[in-house]
Amino acid sequence: MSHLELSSKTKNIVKEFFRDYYSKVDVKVPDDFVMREFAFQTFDSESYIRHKSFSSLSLLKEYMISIIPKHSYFSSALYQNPGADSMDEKGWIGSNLIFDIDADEIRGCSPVKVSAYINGEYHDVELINDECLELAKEREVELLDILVNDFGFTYDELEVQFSGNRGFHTMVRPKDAAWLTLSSSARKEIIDYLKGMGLDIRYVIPDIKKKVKLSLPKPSEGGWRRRISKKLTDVSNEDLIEYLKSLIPKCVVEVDEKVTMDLSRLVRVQGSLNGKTGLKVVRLDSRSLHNFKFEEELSPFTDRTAIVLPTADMRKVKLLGYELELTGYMSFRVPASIAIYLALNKLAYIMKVI
Amino acid sequence: MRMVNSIPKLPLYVKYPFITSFNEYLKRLYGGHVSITYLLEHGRQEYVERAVVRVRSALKNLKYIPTGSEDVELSAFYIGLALASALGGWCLRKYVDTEAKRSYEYLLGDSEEVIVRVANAFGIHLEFLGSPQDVCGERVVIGYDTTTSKPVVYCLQFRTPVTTYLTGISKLTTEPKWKLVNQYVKGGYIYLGKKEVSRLLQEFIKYRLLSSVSDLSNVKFEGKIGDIVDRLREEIPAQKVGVDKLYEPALKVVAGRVVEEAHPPCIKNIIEGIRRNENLTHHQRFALAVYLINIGVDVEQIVDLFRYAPDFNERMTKYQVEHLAGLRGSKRKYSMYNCDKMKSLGMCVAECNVKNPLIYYKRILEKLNREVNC
Repeated sequence: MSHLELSSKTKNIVKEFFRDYYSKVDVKVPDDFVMREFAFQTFDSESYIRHKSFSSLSLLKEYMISIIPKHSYFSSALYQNPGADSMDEKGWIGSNLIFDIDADEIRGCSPVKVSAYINGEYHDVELINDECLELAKEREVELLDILVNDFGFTYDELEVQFSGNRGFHTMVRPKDAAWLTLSSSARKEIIDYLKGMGLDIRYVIPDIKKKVKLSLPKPSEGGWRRRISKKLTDVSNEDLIEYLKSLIPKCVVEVDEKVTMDLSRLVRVQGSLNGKTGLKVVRLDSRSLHNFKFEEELSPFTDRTAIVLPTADMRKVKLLGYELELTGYMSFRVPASIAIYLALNKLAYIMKVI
Repeated sequence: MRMVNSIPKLPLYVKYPFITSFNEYLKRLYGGHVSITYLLEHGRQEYVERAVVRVRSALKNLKYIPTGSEDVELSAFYIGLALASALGGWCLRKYVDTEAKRSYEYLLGDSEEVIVRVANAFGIHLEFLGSPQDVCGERVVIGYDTTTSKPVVYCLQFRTPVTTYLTGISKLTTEPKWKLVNQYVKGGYIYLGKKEVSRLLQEFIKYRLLSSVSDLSNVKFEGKIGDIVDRLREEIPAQKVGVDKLYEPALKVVAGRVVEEAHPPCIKNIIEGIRRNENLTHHQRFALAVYLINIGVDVEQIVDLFRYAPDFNERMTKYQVEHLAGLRGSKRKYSMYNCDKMKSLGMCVAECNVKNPLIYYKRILEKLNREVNC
């Protein structure tokens, strides 16, 4: 689908919105940004601009305005020489621990499928819905609970952001630098801990003799005992071990293991725009995560409207707090936020901005 | 040479000689810088003698009983390390494993205080959670005795940061017991009992010894000492010396049957490990042996590969491999772990899009055959 281009007019209109945004807004990068690699994708090329590094925030801003990025990233890794072309020359110092929760990877989540008709061909497009994001949000809350209670991080050390599309990213900014130099396989152990991979109930409930009446795990305990204790409901159960086993799937936190294990992952820049949606990458604290809604305020383009020509019929499709009733190849006037979202998903041409 | 009498009497050095660096110790002992080479030539004869005993007992799986003398044991330990290193990779691993294993046994018998002291001596953050009155530390009530109504308590006496733990267990993660998922993780720490802590320290001792070898690399064994090294070399079991030659050509092409390039990444990883003379975990040994049996490698050849392991025991290995091949006992040929099982045991290292490592081998083999035929 990526080779498919909407008209250059639509592309230029979206690009102008992005240009306007970056000229007014400052993105937020970690304090140690000078040790990180930056990477961008523009509206004019499929390939990434890699191995950029910046010695000041104003140079970064100037650069972003000059290229108008569709996607903006920095490395989870810290390097001695982040602008070098090869990994060897970069000189790896360490990498922040990162976790990626993607709504469409979640069981029970079915995205809305829309069939777009472009240049004589049909193309399926999947749109995220707010139920899926709610599920992802619940999972993110579970992840944070584990990172705080089990791994001992404070909320200040955890940077959670909405990716601007389908999920949440968590980056650990640890006070203890030992976390930065963990190997990829050590990070895999953390993933397995979250997912319950390799969990053996005998280590949660040690094998003991018949003359012992087992007691329930408590929230004050550690490891999977604590995690299971949070899901206890039916405490009268006869076969305690079987009951506790049945709770394991409810405690699993699915995260994308490739992301966490990759020591040179690219992370979206906070405050930048996600080029798949036109939505902002926003930082969430524990309260704003709780109140998070997939609504129009995630878009910076709320004060204008646009005339669009949809490429598909969209009936009762919920998007950013609106319910769309659009017919393919008929013009409609919609908020600019919706117009841009649809255009970036190749679901509409933008004819005119009002 | 001036003897300094202010060295504290620490029987600890006899049991755990590696908690001080050899250079530091020599500096304190002689009041200035003394090289090992100098010590070999001019130090007490006993240092070298004991070092040879140490190395020899490691290579032959004999029990080593130390003397009570700190300076003899400490010197013998480091000279032994240099000797083992000069004898090559297999001997070094064997020496290091044996020393670390013995320390583990000492740790089990030592007090919590000593365990913490040993850990701290090489920069491992380890905390004892109990007190002289109550050594239990973190008490986990598992249940109640139905006859006495008394609580059944598990004691976790120590804790170490998650990051330290993860670094320490890097070679143990294929054993469920050590996986993070099966640990008592709380507030950034792993809570452990005495036995587990001692085992964890055993791993750190190995890393420590292997990394301190580089300090000894410029030690020269010449003259009398050179003869000792040569004599020791002759004592190395013959199979270990030419082990590379015995095994490698065999696996590359056996009548066009076994092609090493076709092994899946997980198996390559295990084979690389054993060739580096690392001890494999139970599951790794099982997976490797069953895999090789299934692709048609002879029992003899499989046993030869296991010779790389520092803890190799020919009789046991042969028995077990024959058992897995269905030649003994239940006469059941064991089937290979599938990829899901390999994943859950932490042995999967790549996404190959197959269900079983054996399928990977077969596919690559077919591909290679096609290429040859073209």
